[in-house]
Amino acid sequence: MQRDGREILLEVRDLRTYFFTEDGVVKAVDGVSFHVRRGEILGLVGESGCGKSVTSLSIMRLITPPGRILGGQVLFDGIDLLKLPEPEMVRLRGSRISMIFQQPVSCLNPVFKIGDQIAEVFQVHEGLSRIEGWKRAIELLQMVGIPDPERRAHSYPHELSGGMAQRVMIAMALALGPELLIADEPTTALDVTIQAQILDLMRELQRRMHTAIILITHDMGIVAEMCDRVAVMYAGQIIEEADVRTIFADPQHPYTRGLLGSIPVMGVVKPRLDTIPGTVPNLINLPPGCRFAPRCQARLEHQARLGNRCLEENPPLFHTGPGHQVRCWLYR
Amino acid sequence: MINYLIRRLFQMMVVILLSSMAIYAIMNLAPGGPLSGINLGADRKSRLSPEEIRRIEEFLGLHRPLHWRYIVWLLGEDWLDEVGLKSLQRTSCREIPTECTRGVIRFDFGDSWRLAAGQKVIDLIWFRLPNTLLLMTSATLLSLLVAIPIGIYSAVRQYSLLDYAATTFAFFGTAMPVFWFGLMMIFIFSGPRSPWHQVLGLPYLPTGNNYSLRPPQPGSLLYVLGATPGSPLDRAVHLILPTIVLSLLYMAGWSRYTRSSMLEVLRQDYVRTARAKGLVERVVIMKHALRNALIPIVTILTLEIPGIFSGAVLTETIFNYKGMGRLYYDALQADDWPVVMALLFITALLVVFANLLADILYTIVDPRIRLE
Repeated sequence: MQRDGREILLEVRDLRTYFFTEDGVVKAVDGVSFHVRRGEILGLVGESGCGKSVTSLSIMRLITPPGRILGGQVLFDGIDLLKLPEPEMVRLRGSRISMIFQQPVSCLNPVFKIGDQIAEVFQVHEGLSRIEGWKRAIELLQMVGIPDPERRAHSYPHELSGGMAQRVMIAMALALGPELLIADEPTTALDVTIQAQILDLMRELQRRMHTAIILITHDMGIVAEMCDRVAVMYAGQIIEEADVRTIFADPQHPYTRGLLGSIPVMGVVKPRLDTIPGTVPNLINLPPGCRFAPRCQARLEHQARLGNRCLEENPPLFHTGPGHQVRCWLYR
Repeated sequence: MINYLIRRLFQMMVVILLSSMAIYAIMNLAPGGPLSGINLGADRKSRLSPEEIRRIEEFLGLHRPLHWRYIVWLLGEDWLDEVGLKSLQRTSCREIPTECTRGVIRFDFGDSWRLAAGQKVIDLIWFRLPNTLLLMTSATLLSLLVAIPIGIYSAVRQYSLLDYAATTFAFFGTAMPVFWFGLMMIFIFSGPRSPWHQVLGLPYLPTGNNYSLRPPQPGSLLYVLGATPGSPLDRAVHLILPTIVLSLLYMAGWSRYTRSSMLEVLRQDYVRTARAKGLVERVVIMKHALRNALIPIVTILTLEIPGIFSGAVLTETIFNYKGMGRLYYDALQADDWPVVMALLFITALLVVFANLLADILYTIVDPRIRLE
């Protein structure tokens, strides 16, 4: 399992997760494939509702009805997680794969002390007693930079700020030194200064523990700062994948270019930031062709060359360079 | 916290005072009254003269104006002569000072007028209270024991067959009137002519009362168990039907509360965190979710405390069960105002205290709540 040097830890192949709602079948994740190498940070980028979170919950097998994983493979260290019996999957969660979320305060159980909530990880996975687990929890709180951890361990979640709560979540997620951490918009709900602190903490711990991270975000600034590689998602599919330098230097998919154009750049004065016209398509009634085609400026510019293909046929991923793939007919 | 409690206690006293005024006024202003039917059906010889009626009125204290009636009910009449209001005292009080009432403020609820004429109301209540406590606690416990697991299951497996069955059952439980359902239960299970005994040949249950007065008849459950009249076993068998009728009613409510509370909690982010931590589903539900779902349940349960003391009027009446509910019903029927007032006043007191208790309990079960 070698590809570009480092060993591949997680490989997602043709993952499909649909939600069977009363209004119809929502194809939230529709044929997503990507991989994560050991110790690398992969950015999963896209607008809200493009399927980033559903992808990560599918990897953890935490999709609840009416959602269902219909197909594909999630190979973690060579094991297909989608075929793993539930008891073994339970053992994997929180020990080898962990997850942190967007709203840290509401992700902690309001009626238990945070020390107990962290200790529980050790109790469940390592069979430690509550007292031993509590001791380890205090060490972890220290590690994630919470001052006065002995006292803080007795706090309830509502007594913490958002930044503190996210530190607690990180402590809980990294308690057993997982090989993979899925961070679902971990800083979106936090103040900008706190965002930077949390990202610094994550990067420092990632280097120390050599954990691979899937960092889900819609913030290209965070991607530039944190990630080794980037996968851009649109309407339930990955539309471009490349290493982080390439994405910023040579974005190819018109959607990726649009995303980068909507970031303010220091020193450049624009009357307005660029936006991508239109909205994300309804995932129940997807257009037959390329999912971005209805909003795509490039399609109009290259009409002569492409004809109506974009509206009729969804493009596959084309290799355009080393490790660079694009789902766009322009690069055929 | 201490400041809060002091403020609350003061508010509670005001509420109790106002509510006692209201119930006293309603009681006394309602048409009829204890003496309204006194000459009905009496022939010329036994008819009471207006003079005699006035004497009875004076004995009951009904000669006083309404506001003085209330003040005496609350504070007693023994102090009236000291403030120059001797005329408001009853003759019996004036003649024998120990006969003076001392008012509910000093726990004197007066004497019963009719139900047990001359007996102290408080003794009547003490005598009935254990029966009601026994019935209500067993019904509450039984209903919780069944309803909470049903509610949890219904929430975890929402829209499953069992959830639909529980929902149907809950609607049936809330919709059916106890007086009808109780009678149906008596009809089916009680007495030697019940289908339970006649068709199925199973030992029948007593139709009512708290305990038997006569040795059990062959064919009854009491006979099968060899219960001697008045023994704990005998009383337990008499409790079966009223407990079932009451708990079916409560179960309906409790299972719905639990279900909706649990559904609400299962949607929360921390439940997802618990799963992502690697907890098995049973622990996620029974520890992380249930602990939160029970917070509102504990509060509602605390507010049921007044009901546990005041009893179930309909059920106790149907099963001729001598508890507080039946006492209240009988006292109303007999225009026995001191008994009615005592029961209503005690219930008002308990409602107010249960509310305080619920608020205090809330801070214990939910660390987010602080009383300020």
